[in-house]
Amino acid sequence: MHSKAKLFAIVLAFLSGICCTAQAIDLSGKLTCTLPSKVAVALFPTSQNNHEYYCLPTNLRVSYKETSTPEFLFMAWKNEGSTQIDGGILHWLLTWGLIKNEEKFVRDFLIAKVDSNAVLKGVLTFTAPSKYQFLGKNTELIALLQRSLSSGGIIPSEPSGKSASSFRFSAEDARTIEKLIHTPEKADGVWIEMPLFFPDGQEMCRLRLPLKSIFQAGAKCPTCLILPK
Amino acid sequence: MRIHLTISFLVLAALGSVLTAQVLDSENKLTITLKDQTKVTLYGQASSLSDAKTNSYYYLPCNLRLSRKQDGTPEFLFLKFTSDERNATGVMQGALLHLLMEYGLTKAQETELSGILKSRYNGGILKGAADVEPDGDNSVRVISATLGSKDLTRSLVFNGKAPTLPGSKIAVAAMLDKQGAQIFAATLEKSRSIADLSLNLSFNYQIRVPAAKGYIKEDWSKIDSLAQKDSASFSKNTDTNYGKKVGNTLVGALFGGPIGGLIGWFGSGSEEHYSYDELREFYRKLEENKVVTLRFEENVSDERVDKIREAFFQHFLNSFTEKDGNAAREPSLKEKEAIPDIKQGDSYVFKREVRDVVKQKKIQIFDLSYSMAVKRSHQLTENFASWYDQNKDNPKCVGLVNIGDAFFQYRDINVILDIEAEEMMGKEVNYVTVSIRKKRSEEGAYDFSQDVTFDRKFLEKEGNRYTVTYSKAQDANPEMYEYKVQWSLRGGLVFPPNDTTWKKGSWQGLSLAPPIAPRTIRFEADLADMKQMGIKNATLQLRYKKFGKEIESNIGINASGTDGFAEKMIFMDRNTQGYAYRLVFHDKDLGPIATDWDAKINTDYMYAAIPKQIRNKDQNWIKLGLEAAKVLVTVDETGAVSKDQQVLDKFRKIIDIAEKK
Repeated sequence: MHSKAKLFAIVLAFLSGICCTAQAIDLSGKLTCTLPSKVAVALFPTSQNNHEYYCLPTNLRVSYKETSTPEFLFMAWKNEGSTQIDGGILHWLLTWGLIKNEEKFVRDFLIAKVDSNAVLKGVLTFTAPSKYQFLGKNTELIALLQRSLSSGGIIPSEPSGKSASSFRFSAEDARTIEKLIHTPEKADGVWIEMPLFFPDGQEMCRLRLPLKSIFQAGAKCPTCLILPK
Repeated sequence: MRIHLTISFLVLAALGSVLTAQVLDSENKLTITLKDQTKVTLYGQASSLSDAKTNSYYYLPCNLRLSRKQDGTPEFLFLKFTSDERNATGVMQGALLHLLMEYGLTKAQETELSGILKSRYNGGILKGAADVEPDGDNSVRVISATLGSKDLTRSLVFNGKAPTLPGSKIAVAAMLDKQGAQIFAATLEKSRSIADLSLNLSFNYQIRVPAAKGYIKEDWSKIDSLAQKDSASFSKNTDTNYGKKVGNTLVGALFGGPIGGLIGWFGSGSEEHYSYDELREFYRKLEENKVVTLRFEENVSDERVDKIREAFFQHFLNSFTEKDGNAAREPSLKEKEAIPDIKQGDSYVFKREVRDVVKQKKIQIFDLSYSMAVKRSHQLTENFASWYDQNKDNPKCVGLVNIGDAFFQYRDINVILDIEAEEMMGKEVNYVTVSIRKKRSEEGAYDFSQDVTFDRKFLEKEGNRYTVTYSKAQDANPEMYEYKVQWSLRGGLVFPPNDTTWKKGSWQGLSLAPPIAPRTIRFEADLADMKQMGIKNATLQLRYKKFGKEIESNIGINASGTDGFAEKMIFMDRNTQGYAYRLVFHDKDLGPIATDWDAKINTDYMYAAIPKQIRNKDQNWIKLGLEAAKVLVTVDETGAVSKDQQVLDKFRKIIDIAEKK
């Protein structure tokens, strides 16, 4: 028995390194629920039970505190005697997934569309690269963000999980970011992208968030900005 | 009759013995949001023998928070510190951050979650936290531009590996320098959003996923057709070198002879022994001839098929043969590859019941719809601001300190030799020694003492200043010290001679002024007037105190000289402000005529004004003056005027300075 167990353990260990399908879903049973926020949520029944639904990851956004304050911070400073910004830091938290009210909205949607036994079981399991990417046409801005990224950028594995990123800027870069926060439309064309994959390697979806919307959230929040006089 | 065996049973048996007991089912995942918005992801426990979903759930790590002491105090400290001392390295200013975190549901959250599972998910049961492992050695990440910068943060230390059990603590500690502390504190204090510090934990967990749908089929009925088809070619087959015994029996039965040969062999009852390699080859032939077939419903890599084939061969070996322990031998290379820790090669014999399988031409199908365990990652991320905001007014957690602990401070006493003493060094003063002591109030503490001696050589080398330093530790009044000074003077005098009294030191420092002060007395006369009045010499007699004794000094001007001016340095006690004096005029006919003693506050200048009584030749006055001048002054060995001739007592009010107590 020992050798048998050993051999199967070897097989198991080998197989565990292989990507494979997670929740078995029925792609043909797809439903789309549009939230009041206009975000579309794709729902799939499991292949075993057409009353159990999983949704695709969705709704990448800036994370907000309970006080409705965006989890965003930009701080710039001047050295003594200096007339312009000499440095700065930026820290933001992103998240994805449905908030509690939206979950209820989707559950109610399923009950209305399927029947009273329909259940939202959660989000489809995915694999993802370790960090998100900055993409877009403004390569200069992307380069600035990439060289200034101090730490973070991890893709959260579960809904409501947070992705923290912290940047430290040189004097010139800090001045650029300070201007962009006050004119976020100039950051248009750059976005954050989190590519998500089914465990067998096939692409599941791409969560995207325009940089502009992150800066807009910060610009609307005076307590998120610490700027020198 | 079809026999269904489920390999998943075997796989799970192995899983149980090699891996972990808790198996999560990827097909049974829940995400539940609690009242406090904590989102919890749960997986159902996998059924051990089927794909059926259980209602027992385990939750993934969540609710990262500050840990608390038993009294409820958060285990968190943010301490800004500064100092009155300037320090070139900036060590004396900055901030200290130390926090302990933990994750996992609180009891209240567990209760809430259990209730939700029970009511909303068909009586679901919360079994506890899922088994997780840290995602590598760097599974705790500190995300901060400030703390991550070496030029803003002196040191940053934290657990590298995320703990695997809820409630286990994770420590993060940082020492920020002056600028880093200001930036980080500003993000805490001025922003009401987030701080420049987020913490991330990364885990891996294992879940069972269904995969590799397929089967293995054993069709022993094929033996018949094989035997008929290949019987003609068997005689040409040279592939018999894999074992004499197999060649004579199994291969002969399979490829060369009728099925009866095989059955005959199986039924012969002869106990032939086969090696591991021989049986592997036999199994290969079975596959090659479709007696054993592996089939997958999906595309699976060759390597994976090999592994499954290997696993199934092992199953075949165990099902059809028995080990013969009496025939131990060296293991073969293939045997070692398959069973790495094998010590002795096995010898096998076919089980007797195998003949029944073959005789009945049974078809066996092995379902390969087994589940596999795969690793998935999971992260927890929180920002420090919410933790800080909850505790910013808690003095146990947030503080500001001006580092002034006397224990770590020193008291410097600057001992400065007075300029007058510097001038007197080597003249009136040989050296001066100052003794300093610091008596410490704490029991068992050592007292401090140090002696410093200034002499001419020391002055040349070190200058007129020396710093004596002692620690302020272990004393209730660290500023207070005591001292005593002793002067060595010309002529072998020591002042004070036997004084052992300790004086309290001044906070400003210690200035060593000698007990006597030099004064240069200038004396002037009108030579022409002296000549005209018949006075050959004028002498200024001074009486003053030196080391408390009355001393006399004389300064004379001769009328026959060319200079009507003379000066002399005298050394008077520092606590006197004047001197007594008289003038002695030497008349060329009458001899010395002395004036009365008088006193004068220090002006350091005297003029030899010829008294009007001499000009008017007042005989009574002159007579008294002549008498007074006849008295010879006697002094003792120290130069002090004998007591009966002392005059200073009469002028004490003018000369003495009230001594400071």
